[in-house]
This record gives sequence, C-alpha cells and structure tokens, in this order.
Amino acid sequence: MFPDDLTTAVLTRAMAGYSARNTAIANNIANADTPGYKRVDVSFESALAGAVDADRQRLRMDVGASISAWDGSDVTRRVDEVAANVMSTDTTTMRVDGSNVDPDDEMARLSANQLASSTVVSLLDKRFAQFRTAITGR
Amino acid sequence: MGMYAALGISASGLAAERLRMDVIANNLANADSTNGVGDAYRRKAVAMAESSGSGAQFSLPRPAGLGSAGDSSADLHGVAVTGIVEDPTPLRKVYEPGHPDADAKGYVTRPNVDAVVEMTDMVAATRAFQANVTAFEATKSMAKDALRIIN
Amino acid sequence: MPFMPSGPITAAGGPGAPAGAAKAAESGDPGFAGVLSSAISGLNGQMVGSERLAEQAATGQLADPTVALVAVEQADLAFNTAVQVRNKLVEGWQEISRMQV
Repeated sequence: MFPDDLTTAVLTRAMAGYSARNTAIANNIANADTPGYKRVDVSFESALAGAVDADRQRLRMDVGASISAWDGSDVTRRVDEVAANVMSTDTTTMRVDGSNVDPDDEMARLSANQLASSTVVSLLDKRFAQFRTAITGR
Repeated sequence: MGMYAALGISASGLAAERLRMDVIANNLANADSTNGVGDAYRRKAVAMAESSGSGAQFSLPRPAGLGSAGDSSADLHGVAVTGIVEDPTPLRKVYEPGHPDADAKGYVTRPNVDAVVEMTDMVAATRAFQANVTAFEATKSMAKDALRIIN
Repeated sequence: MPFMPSGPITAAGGPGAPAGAAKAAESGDPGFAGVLSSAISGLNGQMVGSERLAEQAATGQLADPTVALVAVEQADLAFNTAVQVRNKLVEGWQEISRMQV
C-alpha cells in the first residue's frame, strides 16, 4: 500500500497509542470515585522506538528492499506489531477508600496526551501533503 | 478502539456523577423527614464500581478489526453504579415533646443527614462531572484533529 | 552563457557541455549544475533528518516536539523550492526545444 513507508507507519502507530492512552485516562476520570480502583495507563513509546530501530536495521541490511518491502514477503514489519498495552498501577494508594486516582493529575495527563497527539497528526498531515506535491509536481 | 470506547467511558462517568447529584439532592430534600415514631429517612449514597462492560448503559459500538490489533484499551468500560445504598450510621434522636412522632420520652428520631457533608459531596460530584466533560471534549478534539488528515 | 541544456544535468556538466562550463570547472567554480546537485543532495539529507526527528517525536524521545515541527517545515519548504526550480527548468527546456532553429 503506497505510501506506507516506515515513517508514516510510525506516526500512524503513535496516533493509535495516544488514542489508547486517551481511553485509559477517560477510564481513570470516570472511576475517580470508585473505591479500590487503581489507575491505568498505556505504554507504547519505548516499544515503538525499539521496533523502528529494528526495522531500519533490516532495511539497511536488505539491499533489495524497497520503500514498501513488506508486501508479499513473509517478513512482518515490527512497527505494525506494536500494541498499546494497558497497565494497571496497583502498587500505590492515595486515599482511604483504596483509590489511587488523582483527578488533577489525570487532567494534566489528558492535556499532555492531546498535545502530543496533535503534534503527530500535524506531522502526518504535512507528510501526506509532501507526497501530494511530489506526485502532482505543484 | 479509537474514539468510541473513550466516549462511552466518559458518558458512564457523567451518568454516575449525575445520579450521585440526584441522591444528594434527595438527601437534602429529606433532611427533616420523619417516618412515624422511632424511624426517619435514612441517608442514601451511591455505590460505584468499575464497569465490566456487561449490561453497560452506554455501550457505543466498538468495531473490532483493523487498528485494534492487540489494543487492550478495549477492556476498559468506565464506571457503573451498582446500587443506591443506605447509610448505616444511626439516626439522631432529638428532644421535641410536642412533635406528633415523638416517642414516650419525647424524643423524635431524625434523619442521619448532615447538610455540611451533603454540600461537600455535592462539590465533589460537580468537580467529577466537570472532569468527565473535559475528558469527553479531549476525545472529541483528538477525533477532529485526525479528520484534518484528509481535509 | 555557462548553462546550455543539451542533456540530463549531471554533476560533471553533461555530454556536449559548452566550453564555458568546462572552463568554469577548471577554475574550481562548480557552475550552475554543481550548485543544483549540491542543493539537491542537501535537500535529501534535510528531509531524512526531519523524518528521523518526526519519528522521535512520535516515540516520545524528544524533550521539545517543536524541534521536529520546525525541522519538518524547513525540509518541506526546501522540497517545495526544489520542485518549483525543477518546474521552471522544465519550462525553460521546453521553451528552448520549441525554438525554430
């Protein structure tokens, strides 16, 4: 599928990760008053960084690899396999009722996540615009 | 899972906090209600638990398929109200010999509702409601951002 | 006239390059073709670099994501400049090739 190069795939996976994190934070906010509830978060950044490095290594070593070398070969791209993992933080307790949700902390994380997502969307947007310029020559 | 899960989760939070507000309003309205001799209105509270997804009130469609591979945020379903429970703290006894519901010794049983506690609870519920609204807006904003890609 | 398009533009000036370009190369002056080729290779480096920065921004390795945004915009402007230059060159080439000789 064109253009499905590595950088576009990384940006797309990152967007999925931010969306998953948004869902996790929404769950924390909805359960802010649930006794015994432990906040959840999502991790994907380090896995994605590792996958990008591994895939780039493979691209370098495979001399015949084209931009979308992944179609038709049985080599799966690591970047496409990165999943956003929901992790529960059940080691800390904030309140008497056993919940460890700090609503202000969740709001801050919500904003930060939104900003990061917007940045990546802008980068993806610009990338597709560049492809369009290259194709149409304008 | 994209946007749909987060919207349903925030909606469940909004519903739970709104119900909590209703219960608080009911407590305040019945702060002086007696219930015959020796009995009175008992303060009610909302019991919340993390929703498991079954019988969820706000189950927006969650399409599986492309883009959801290994995404375990699908297991999150927000909050569910498990019931409206009565506060077990003992009812107050107030000395009012002329009251129609006074017992032999002249004591009237009054509700265990403390206005200060209810007000504090109301502020907390309002804050939590607003937080869920903010989360809802954040999800909407991320969805609109993504739409820019094809615009 | 140091530049006469008579074939693909190469770093060496191309086949049939006029004497002017050869004389310019002798004196160390890269000539217009040299300027263009260095600009194009610089552009590629710039775009690859901005790509890496975008990936780092997506994986949370950048303390300040605006670095990536600025680099991507710069690379994009350079790319668009190159495209416009190419368009003008093609235009000029077409005009010259239309000339009745």
